Amino acid sequence: MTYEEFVGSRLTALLRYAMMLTGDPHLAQDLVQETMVRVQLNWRRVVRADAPERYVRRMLTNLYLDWQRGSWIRRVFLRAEPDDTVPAATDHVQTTVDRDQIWSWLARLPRRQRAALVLRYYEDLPDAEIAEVLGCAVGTVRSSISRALATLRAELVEA
Amino acid sequence: MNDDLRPVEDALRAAFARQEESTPPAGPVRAAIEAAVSRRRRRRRTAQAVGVALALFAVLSVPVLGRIGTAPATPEPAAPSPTTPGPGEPAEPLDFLVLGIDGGDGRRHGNRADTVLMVHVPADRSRLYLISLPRDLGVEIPGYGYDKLNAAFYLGSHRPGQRPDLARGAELTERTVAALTGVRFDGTATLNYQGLRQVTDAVGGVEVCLPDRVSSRHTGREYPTGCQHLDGARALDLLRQRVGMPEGAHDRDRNAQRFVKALLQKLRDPAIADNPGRIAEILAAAGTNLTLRLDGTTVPELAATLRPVAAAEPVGIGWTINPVRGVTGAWVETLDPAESHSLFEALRRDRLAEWVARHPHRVTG
Repeated sequence: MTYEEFVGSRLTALLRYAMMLTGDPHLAQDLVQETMVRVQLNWRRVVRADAPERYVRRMLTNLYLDWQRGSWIRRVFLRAEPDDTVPAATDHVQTTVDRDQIWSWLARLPRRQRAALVLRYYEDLPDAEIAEVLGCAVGTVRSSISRALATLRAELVEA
Repeated sequence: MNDDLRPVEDALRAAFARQEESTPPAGPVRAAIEAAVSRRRRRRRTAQAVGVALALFAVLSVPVLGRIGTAPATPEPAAPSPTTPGPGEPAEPLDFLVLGIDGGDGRRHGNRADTVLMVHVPADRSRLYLISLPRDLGVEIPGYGYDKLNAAFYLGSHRPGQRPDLARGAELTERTVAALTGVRFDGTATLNYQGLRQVTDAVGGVEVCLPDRVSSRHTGREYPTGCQHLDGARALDLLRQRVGMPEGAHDRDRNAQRFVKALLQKLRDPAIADNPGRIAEILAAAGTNLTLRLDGTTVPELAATLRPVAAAEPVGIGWTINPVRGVTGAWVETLDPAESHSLFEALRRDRLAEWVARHPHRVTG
């Protein structure tokens, strides 16, 4: 497989995955761009991996998890702050608020928990593969997900 | 899974599904990746050029250190020198120019300086600053007019019908850089390919490890994947290979870096480093392919000055590629006018630490 073929077939899926992780199109683009620059510069090593696609998804995830000092991760949190001024007059508006609410709750989860949620509920990966992407044990994946779900449920009940 | 979590799971799946439509389109992202990769490759190339030049400098300091052992009788100068201040007297900043020139003995064609590196030693002796200048930089060469920077060495050294005068090539390059930057240099060191070959042989060859096979277009030799012992001729042959490799000059730069690491490894070997006799042999091996001109300081003083400074991580300062049509119509490199002006001023005033803090994107590591 050449780098060109890889980009051609996988870029959109990676962008979607980054979109779910970050909740923001600009940040998703930054994350994918930084990952793919590294992929291209180290293509020989990437293509030697058993499954280049999984290898790259793991690179992107690590970048998301480790990129602590980058300003973009702070922007996620700021942007995702719940907006108290949103009116809740009709059911329709309430639905919109709920949508925004879910994303703001997601943004407040620890990044590792959020990544686990995305991998299970968006990418539909089995727990063993989630563990591989996150570089942790399967048990850790399960406990991260149940903790994240419990947090979200508490928010949902409160709202 | 607990039943009361089902609504949460459903809400999550729905939220992710809704978010899909906000995913940025792949086309522009792909273009942005390509642009970022070529920027990153240019930065890498600059960093590698600095690495190679730094290694040249290290090679040059070997003879410098060697002379301490072999020529202890050098009399101390009576006048105060800039490198060794008297008690309580502050040290002065020092500036050197290191030139790596192409060609062998230069008999067939002229030599050009492919590596032009300014080395700044601040008065506080905290660390070395390495400032590279693009070899294709369009400059005013004193007495010759507008040309590329690397031509200054040729114009200065060329003598019809005779071997080039490398010292004069270095001198004209030094004057050119001095006119460009306003910096007065305390010394200039010059090394050519042949000197590199001889130094390699003098240390008994180097162990270079290649990730991919390289075939020489010049000699037909094959350099297989993996680690191999290279003598001077083979090392030079390998380092000349650019055409036919997947990434051309990038691959060559990387091989140069591998070679340089191997050479530095050899020079740190106690069998060589602690043996003045061996160092003197290495120095003798480089012979006339290495020239060193020092102004107002002596070799032992310089060695004593540089040894502690060189222990700190040096700061490399480089430029991004910015070609324009020069006044003669040829493509030349240019420097960002504002940034280069402030850099050269900081260099003259010994305030590079502040400049670097304000321009972190110029640091090549």
